Amino acid sequence: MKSNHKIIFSGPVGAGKTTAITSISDIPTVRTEEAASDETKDLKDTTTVALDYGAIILQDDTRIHLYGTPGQKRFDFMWEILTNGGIGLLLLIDGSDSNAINNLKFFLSSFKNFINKTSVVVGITKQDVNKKYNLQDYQEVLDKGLPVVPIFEIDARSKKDVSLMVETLLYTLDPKISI
Amino acid sequence: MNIQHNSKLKISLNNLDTITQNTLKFFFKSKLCEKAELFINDDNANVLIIDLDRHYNKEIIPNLKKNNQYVIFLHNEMNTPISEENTYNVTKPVQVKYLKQQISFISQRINDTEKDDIVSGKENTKSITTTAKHVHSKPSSQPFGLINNKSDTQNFKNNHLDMALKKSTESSTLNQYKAHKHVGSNRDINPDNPEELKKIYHNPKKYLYHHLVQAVKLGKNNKTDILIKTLFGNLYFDYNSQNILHSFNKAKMRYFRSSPLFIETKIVKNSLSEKSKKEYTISQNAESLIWQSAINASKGRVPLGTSLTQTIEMTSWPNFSRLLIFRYVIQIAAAWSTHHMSLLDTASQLKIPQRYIFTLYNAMLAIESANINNVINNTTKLNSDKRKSVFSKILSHIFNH
Repeated sequence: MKSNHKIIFSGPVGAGKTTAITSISDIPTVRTEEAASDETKDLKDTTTVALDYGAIILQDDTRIHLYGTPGQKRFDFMWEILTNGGIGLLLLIDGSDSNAINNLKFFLSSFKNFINKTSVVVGITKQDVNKKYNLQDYQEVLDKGLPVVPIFEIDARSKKDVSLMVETLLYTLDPKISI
Repeated sequence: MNIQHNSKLKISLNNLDTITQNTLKFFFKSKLCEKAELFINDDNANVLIIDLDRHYNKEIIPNLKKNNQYVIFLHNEMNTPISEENTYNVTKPVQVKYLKQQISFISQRINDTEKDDIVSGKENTKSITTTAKHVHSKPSSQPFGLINNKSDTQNFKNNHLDMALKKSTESSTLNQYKAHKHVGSNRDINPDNPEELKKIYHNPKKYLYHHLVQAVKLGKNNKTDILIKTLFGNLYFDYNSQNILHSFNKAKMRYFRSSPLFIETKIVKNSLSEKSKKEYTISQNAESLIWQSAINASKGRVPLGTSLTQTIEMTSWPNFSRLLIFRYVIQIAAAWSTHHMSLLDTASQLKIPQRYIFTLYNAMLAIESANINNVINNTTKLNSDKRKSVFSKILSHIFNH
């Protein structure tokens, strides 16, 4: 039986989780978006209410599952379930949101146990739209010392950018990977 | 009417670097001379060959296509092909067979278009060697061609590009061409041999990147613009935009970045009017230019006095999604971000040639995301994750799709 592995995409509403999964998924992304009815309504028309699902399918048919968590904090009970057994976390933060720094702190704190066991890569999206902070501002809220958390400006629509995040995640887990 | 069917295509290589230009010249001379002639700079060319990997900002590409020519984009597999009218894509490693195929196809389309024009009585009498807009008159029905055939490299004997673009058995992502261009070709040195040791040091003060770093520091500390006077022309750090302004073309800039010429450089506080700033024709993000200049200056070397045995202190990850990267960069940075390692340990533990490690360190030092740690001197040993083989497969997958 083939082993299954999963990579978790998380971050606040509108950060680009669904888009990022779609960028690298080898299958059509399963979206569970519904019309937004709460505070999300002000941010986007639809939002992920359960999870997004995509997959990378390797040559030997091994599936690397890509799960996107719902962005609303009231769904945080799902986060622990979803992260169970995950390879690591790709955290997307909407850089055009004036609350972006707090969002970064919140999500790093919420996923602390998972991150400590695995690894995290942060992608700041929409920096070209309406940049609220520089990368240094995000870096300053992180703990000093090792491990140094990777933070990149990314475009969630770009396969290249999302692939860079996956590559970085894997190398931080094992810098000796050879291909 | 003076229609010249089967005339040679005019192909512009203006947007390629010199090495690629020379290599393509070699190609065309030996394989494609009957179909095309090359021009380094010709706005009326029928076909542009553009290295997509050199253009991080794809929005500038329409500007390159001044006369709506056909375009062949060369790109690596990580870069998304461009799907536009009259646009063709060839993935690297470039194979003569497929480049030739695309050129033949374009040539055929141009001839077909001209025949159609004659039949329809259009007053388009210029030969294809004089107009490019003309060939754009019909939309291409051909879907963009993503060429990814792994065979037929046997006849590809151009030494430089063969070395440079041939698919590596170790990695197909970042080709050897880029790597060789950026990290030089220094062999690993024995640090106990003083003669060999000399080869891996350079004096930063002789290179542009050092002066850019000083200028940006001074500008940021004083919240002011800075003028950088060199023997060969001025550069200007614009504090508000955090950009470096200059008027050097690509070739000249590359020469400046990599040549030890800047010992006479002076940095002075300055304040130009917006109008005067516009006299500089090029504006580049300061960090990006410093990064690239540090790589070009390093070419596998580190600044004089750098300890090869003390551990590296990485303070932040460079914004790799927006900076020039070369082979092994993520792997090396990942090792430094999670473990205490010296430059030499990094090379030996990761089994990566020292020149890659030295070049990355030099660039990270220049943008202040790494330095030598004078406190912690214990190297940690890298252990492999039990899922290493799966990780390896995932990486192969994302690099090849």
